[in-house]
Amino acid sequence: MKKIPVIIDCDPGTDDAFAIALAKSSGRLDIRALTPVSGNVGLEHTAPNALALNDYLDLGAPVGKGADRPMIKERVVNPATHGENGLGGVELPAPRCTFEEDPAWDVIYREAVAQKGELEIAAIGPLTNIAITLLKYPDIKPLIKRITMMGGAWGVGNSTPYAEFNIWVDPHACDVVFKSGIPITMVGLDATRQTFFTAEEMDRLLAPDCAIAPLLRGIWEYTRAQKAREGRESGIILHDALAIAAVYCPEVIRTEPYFATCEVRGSLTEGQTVVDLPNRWKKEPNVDVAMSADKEKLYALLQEMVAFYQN
Amino acid sequence: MRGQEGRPIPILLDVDTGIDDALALLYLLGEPRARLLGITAMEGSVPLAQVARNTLAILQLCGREDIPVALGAKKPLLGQFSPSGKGAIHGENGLGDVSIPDPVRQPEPCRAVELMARLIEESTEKVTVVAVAAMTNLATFLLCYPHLKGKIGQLVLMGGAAWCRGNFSPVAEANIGRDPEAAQIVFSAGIPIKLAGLDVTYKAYATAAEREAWRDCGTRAGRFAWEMFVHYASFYEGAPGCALHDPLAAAWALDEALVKSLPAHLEADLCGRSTRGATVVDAGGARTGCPCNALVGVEVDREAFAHRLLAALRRLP
Amino acid sequence: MVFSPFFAPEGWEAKAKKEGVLPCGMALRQGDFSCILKETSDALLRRTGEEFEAVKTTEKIPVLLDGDPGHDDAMAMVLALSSDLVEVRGMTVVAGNSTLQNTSRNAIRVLEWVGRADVPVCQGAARPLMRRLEIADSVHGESGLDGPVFPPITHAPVEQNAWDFMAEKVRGCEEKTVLVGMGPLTNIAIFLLANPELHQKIARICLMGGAAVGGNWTPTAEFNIWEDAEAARIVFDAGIPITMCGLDATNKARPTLDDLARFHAIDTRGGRLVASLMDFFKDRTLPGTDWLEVPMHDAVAVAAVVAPQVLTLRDCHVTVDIEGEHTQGCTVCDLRGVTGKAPNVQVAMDLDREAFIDLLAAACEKLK
Repeated sequence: MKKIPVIIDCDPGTDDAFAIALAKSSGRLDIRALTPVSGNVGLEHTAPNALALNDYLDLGAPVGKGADRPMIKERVVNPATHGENGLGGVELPAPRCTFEEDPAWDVIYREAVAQKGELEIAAIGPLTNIAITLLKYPDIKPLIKRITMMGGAWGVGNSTPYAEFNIWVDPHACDVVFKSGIPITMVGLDATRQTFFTAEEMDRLLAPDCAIAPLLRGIWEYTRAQKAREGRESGIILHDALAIAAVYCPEVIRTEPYFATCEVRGSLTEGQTVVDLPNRWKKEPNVDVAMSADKEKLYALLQEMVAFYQN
Repeated sequence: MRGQEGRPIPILLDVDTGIDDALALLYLLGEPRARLLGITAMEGSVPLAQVARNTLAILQLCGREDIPVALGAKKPLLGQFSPSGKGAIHGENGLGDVSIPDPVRQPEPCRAVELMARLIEESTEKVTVVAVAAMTNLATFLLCYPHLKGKIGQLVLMGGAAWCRGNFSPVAEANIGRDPEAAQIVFSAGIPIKLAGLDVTYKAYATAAEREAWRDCGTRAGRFAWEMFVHYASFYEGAPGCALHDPLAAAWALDEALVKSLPAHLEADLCGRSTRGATVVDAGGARTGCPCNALVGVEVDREAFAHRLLAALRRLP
Repeated sequence: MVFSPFFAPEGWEAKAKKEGVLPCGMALRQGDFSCILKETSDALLRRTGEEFEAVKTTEKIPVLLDGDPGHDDAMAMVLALSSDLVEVRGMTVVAGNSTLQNTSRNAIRVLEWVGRADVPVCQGAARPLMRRLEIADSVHGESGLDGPVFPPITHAPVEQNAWDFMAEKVRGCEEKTVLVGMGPLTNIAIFLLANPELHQKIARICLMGGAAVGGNWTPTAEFNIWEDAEAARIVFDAGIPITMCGLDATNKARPTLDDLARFHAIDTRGGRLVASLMDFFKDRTLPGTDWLEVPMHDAVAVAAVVAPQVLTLRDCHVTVDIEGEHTQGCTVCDLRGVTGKAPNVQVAMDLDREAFIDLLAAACEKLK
């Protein structure tokens, strides 16, 4: 089967690390580039992390640095969840590769032209890089086959009552992406929350030794400790991994097409992805919204990932 | 700021030509203290292609086909343009329906932001950007090339209405109102800003006699300027003259003393139900406690301005 | 941590997987909160209606109804008027489902039909505080209460403003009054603004409006709140205890065809009224369910007073968006406690549908 050419726009990020490792292990994705953006932690961490992961996971992909802040809002980061360094304190070996000279948006455009309309984007951080690409290169739209994004929620959010972190960080960027006309799959919290892996499931998943065990176990141990500190149920949601899985294994989520727009003005609702489920606005659907997720399927894919790194 | 005494100042101009844009362009072409590096175009009262055509035609009229022109945004950063009050004032063709020969030259094959980046990178000194359209191109540039911010010496913007009514909505001026998010990105970029808003540009008017002096100054450009303003002036009947919004921004870029201004903290309102696109100006940052990011123009030495403008038109072919 | 079985029916995950659809409530995009609660610390109390303090009173609870009848308002009135637990001391009407003229006539029609013309009806606001009135005639028909054939009315509304009437009734009652809001909250907001000293004499405001997730008039707003978002903001921010019966619960207040037959068999004035109200909507069912698309939303707000045990309630902070580009009228419910604001509202997260239908049927039996 032909591999899907994909650019992973990311903010590694603990779940980003799982997601990128999963992407590599699938054998189904031709990772054309990593384009880090400020998000879970600042670009000063996400960019070196992307570079280090590129080397550690042997992706051989160009890494193009992206935006170090959102389009308009002030920068917000979440080191509590991801650790000060973004990888839950895991220190990866110093990378031998270097950053592309071109920034993320130029790398994305270059690849989009080269792939002649076949390129997909998996956007698992705030959408700043993608929005800047669309603003600088409006002609890129027919060249992107699909954007699969981790972000948003039609239901309950996590940064505010209704806003999910990636979108809340840069709602204006999400607005640009939603209005672009490019096919979009939105993997939001409604779906990712259904893939909560318990501590027991994570321990079982990571029990076999594999080449990247220090990374995966380090992140999981960080998260376990973090949850314990906060008195929350032990376990983890690998939001970004679900989005990556959805790129090559669409059956891992169930989507429905809806019209969606991003709230950028309401002070209470800023960053909410407003999905017109009751079709009150009678507008053409622009987003395939993940309504639910198949937790067992994702778990199986992650088990395959661990097995892949055992060889 | 050099200029008055020293070498000419390198300038990038962003336009949506536009009658007063055209005059701003003529002024910069005829002003020895300015060195126009390039022009970027933005969709405005006329479609982008027409903006480019107008700009190239004026450059051709003045024999300045060495100056590159590149096409920029057709839409604001978010969504579509909402209907603007600008419309009729610039005429069908954007130049008061004055016909000038079609340009031979085409716009540059690159995008507006790429031209800006190239010219700024190539410049050995800091560049002044004069933006007299909605700020979409400028904001996109700042998003794409944050590392080049330091090479922009100043931004001189025609836009906003600090203490006077707007012309796009009751409180918003058109260049801000048409793309408030872009304006806010520009305002918060950390680059020194001169804001020539309606507060001062309405005071920078040209009387009928002054416009007749353009006509009679003996150059093609002067006559063309006068001709365009015949249409424009019909919107200013009863006023002492017609406002030269964009030319004032261009002139202020070269001459500090021309405009009296207040340092202020400047923001664009993005969320208001009826105030979206308003420029919220806090003189001295006194009310918000925020640092001043702009000089907001309040008074103009109108006669000196009129004099400069006429002198510039005289120097053109 | 304890999860309420009400949040999601037992075994719903397997069912969803097998059938590719979410179970009942979730087909309406409301109700699946189990995953969210799993993530949430239990700092926020989850309570069931049994702890609701009003029920503990032995005296009848003084109640003022405010609404915009409306089919579901009419059913709510039946439920309130038949209850031994409450004393309905008056009914104020507001424009919403239909014009003020229609809603006040409809209120009198219902009271006369069930033989309770002794309950005074009082007219309030003819339009929202700041917005243009938009009526829901697409749902309730031209009269606001299409379907049943009513005889001409013989009573007139009281010559007094709704808010003055409310103030008089609240002031004149020794016990604290429960306000039941069944329409846009315009009247209640004006009453609260005009009478700050009476806030402490309000035991609780039980209202139908909003949603923890979703909406029915826009993607994120329910009709009553959307219609007068500013009034709703005033009410929610007033600091008075509120029970919010939003779409999460009220979308489950739907009869099946069997239920409809049951109401037809109740040969009382109450039964005949409710059955003919339901008949107006009997041709449509909600996708993925055997429920008729009969709106009974407002009756849930009365149920919150007379039988709160049919509801699953959750304390959380709620306020109303009035400024968003797309989200005006959204009741912003902080289910996960991310805003750090103290809970001010009991939000009805779920409804025991069968118990609710039983409740309404019993009410109809009583209204001979």
